[in-house]
Amino acid sequence: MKKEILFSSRLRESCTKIIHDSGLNICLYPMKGFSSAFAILGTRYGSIDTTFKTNEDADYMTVPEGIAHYLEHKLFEGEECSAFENFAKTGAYSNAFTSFDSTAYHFSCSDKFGENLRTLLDFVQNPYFTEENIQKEQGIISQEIKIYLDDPGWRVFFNGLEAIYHNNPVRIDIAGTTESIKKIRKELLYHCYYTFYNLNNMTLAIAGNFDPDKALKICDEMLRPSKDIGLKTLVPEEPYEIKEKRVSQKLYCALPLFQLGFKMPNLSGRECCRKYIIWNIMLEAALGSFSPFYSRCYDSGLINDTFSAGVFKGRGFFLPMVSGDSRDPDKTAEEVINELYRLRTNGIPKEDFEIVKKMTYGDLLSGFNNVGTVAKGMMNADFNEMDIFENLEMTAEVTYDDIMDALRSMDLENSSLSVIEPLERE
Amino acid sequence: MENLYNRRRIADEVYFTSVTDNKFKINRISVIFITDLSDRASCNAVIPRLLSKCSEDFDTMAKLNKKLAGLYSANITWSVKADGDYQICELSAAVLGNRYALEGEDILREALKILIGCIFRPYFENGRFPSQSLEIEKQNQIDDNDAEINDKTSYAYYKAYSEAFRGEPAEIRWGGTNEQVEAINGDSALETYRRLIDETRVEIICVGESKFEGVEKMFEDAFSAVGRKPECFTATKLSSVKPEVSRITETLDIEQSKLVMIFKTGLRKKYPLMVMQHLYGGTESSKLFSIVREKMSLCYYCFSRLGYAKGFVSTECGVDHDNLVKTEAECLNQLSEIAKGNFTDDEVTKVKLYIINLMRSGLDTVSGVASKCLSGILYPENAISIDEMSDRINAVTREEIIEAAQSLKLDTVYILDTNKKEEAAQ
Repeated sequence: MKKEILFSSRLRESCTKIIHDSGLNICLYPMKGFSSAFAILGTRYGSIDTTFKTNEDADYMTVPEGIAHYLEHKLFEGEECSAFENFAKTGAYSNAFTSFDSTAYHFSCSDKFGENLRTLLDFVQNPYFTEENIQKEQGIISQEIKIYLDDPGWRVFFNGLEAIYHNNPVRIDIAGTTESIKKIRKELLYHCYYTFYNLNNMTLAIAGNFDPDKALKICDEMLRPSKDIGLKTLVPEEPYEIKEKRVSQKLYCALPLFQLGFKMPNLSGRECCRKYIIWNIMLEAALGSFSPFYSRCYDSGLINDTFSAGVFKGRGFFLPMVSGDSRDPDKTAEEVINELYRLRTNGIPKEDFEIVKKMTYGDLLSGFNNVGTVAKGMMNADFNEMDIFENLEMTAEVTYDDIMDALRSMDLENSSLSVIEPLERE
Repeated sequence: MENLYNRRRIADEVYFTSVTDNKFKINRISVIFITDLSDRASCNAVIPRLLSKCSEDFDTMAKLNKKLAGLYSANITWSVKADGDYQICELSAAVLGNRYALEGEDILREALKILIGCIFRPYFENGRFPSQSLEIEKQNQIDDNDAEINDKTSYAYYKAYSEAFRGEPAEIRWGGTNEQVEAINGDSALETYRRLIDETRVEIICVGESKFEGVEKMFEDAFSAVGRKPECFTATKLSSVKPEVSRITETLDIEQSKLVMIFKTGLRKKYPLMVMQHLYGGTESSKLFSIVREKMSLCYYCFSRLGYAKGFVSTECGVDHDNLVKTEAECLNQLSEIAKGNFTDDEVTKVKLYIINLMRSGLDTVSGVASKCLSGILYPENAISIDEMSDRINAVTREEIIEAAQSLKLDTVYILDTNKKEEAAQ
């Protein structure tokens, strides 16, 4: 077991990172004064991981879209009772989520932390799938998919991804489709489970009111060592150009919704995180709440409080985007692009850059105020081979040249506009 | 509440509460104007929008936002909501704790001065809100009112809610009606602003790492310059059940149908109702989750909520059209099972632990503490400590749960139906 204590001089707080003998990475952050604890156990396995192989496989295998999410639903099921029922015995709140590049299971509690940690480690390590319980889940997940089909905010986002990417699996809806999930069988779920739920591919993060020594003792008892199976995922070749310049759909909504995405080369790991900070600072200084652009567009009624600019990133994708509601999405997109061209020539005011750096520092520190945010932050940082404090240091190191280089590297014409138009009610 | 959080009067119907907890890294100061929901709701809703955008000291939104950004991403936000028969209009400042300032700035004091400036010294032109700003915020309010349709789950809930409380103040939505918004002019906006400052009940709630020294005095001074003539404060009234169940169906071109049922109760026993509602549909081990979702696979979400002040419990779910009848019947059946006493002591214990865990965890966030303070102010029965609440929850008996379930009478059924009926069946 390898143990490292990490200290942040800015926060004057520390956390511990452990590489456990079982292969699992463990991050522990006790937080004084809090009455609850939050634990999250995640795997680097998300909706984008549809084609993969291990040392034991001769060739790559492609599985149905939405299977990572389906697996997340089914893992709560046990032979005798569901994990929900075990958490309920202590009053803990438990849940899970699947994103593009990860799946995670978590609980929060203000009592009986040890019992809950045992439940978490137990159910995630012990899948129990039957054809019957898999079949049963189809109805539930179909309804989940349908909720999002009616959600204009979700649709503008996914339509936008489909317009930008030709092959990158990030363009696939996390839950798959009502058709694709019908292809999911017990054997496939087990295969995906044993491929991705290997402890070498996973991280446990705990924050809040808990005893680190007791937590580690439970980990020692419950974690079953995994051998590294040489997992490889296949990322399809992605052309440089966007797929479609403009896509639109009609749904019930008050104002048109828009999303303008600028296609960029894929990034992963630490470099992705560093650029994420640089690009977010650049976009905030250029288009954020105190920029001349924002005031001009807000005062003319083109945008409202829903307007935002930032980077959508993860393993294998890095996408600066601007989104919100607008009476005239095309005009807004034109204004955004013109403003970025203008700033490329004239430069972002240096004073604004310094202010946004301070903003970013404040936002990052504020995140250490909540046990759930800290635990999720540790897990995500670990997935990117970083620690939770490094974002603060990376922010301090961002220079004016970094943000201007970022702005100049944008291919402003290689962008897609996704629009949801209001569907008239009869 | 006075004893619990040392709430004190600083002017006529103006109260100040502060909670210091060193575990937090931020501070939040909320100025809350409490008034009855009435035909003034629209105008009341527009004022906080205007106040949060500029002030005499910062005459444009850009200047204000720039100053706040430089204070480590401090923000001044507005919120307006309906709670029972009340309309709650709030302006809040959220700031990073002074101990994290890089250059020793007094972030809290600076942000407070800005907040007080926004509330007491708005930016006027010719003694009125600038007409351009007023027109923009009127339009934004209309867009927000219309945007309720964007989220079909909450749209269905509020349609059912309005029908259940037809003819009562609670029928009015937080932002009133578009017709009322359109009728706002410079004079009525000014009059409403004065009324909010002079006549509504005001609660100032500060929560965070600061001791808030001098903050009370700053607000005391600000309100001393105001000629307070507080209006009579009406308590939220219990709603009586309709003689006949009101059934409404609205059909839209959507993928999933929504079912909302509202039951009313005249029972004035908060904790038995709370335990019963959680047993019915408030947790992952509840009847609605474990039977309607997990066993019958009818939906992805199916839950209940309790509105104690108005005396109601709602049931909400999203289902295929073909399953609407079956789902409604099963939701009613599960409530009837509780009313007959068909639940175990083990189920009750789990639910009690869950509620207590949730309440304790709520005090681990600044917003959770602020909500607890406000809840105790609006509803005196909530003005007790978490320990006392836990004791009352634990004291709830099986007979009281049955009594609570038996007291519920169906009042309103609202269905937002899909027109894609032929495709809906799985």
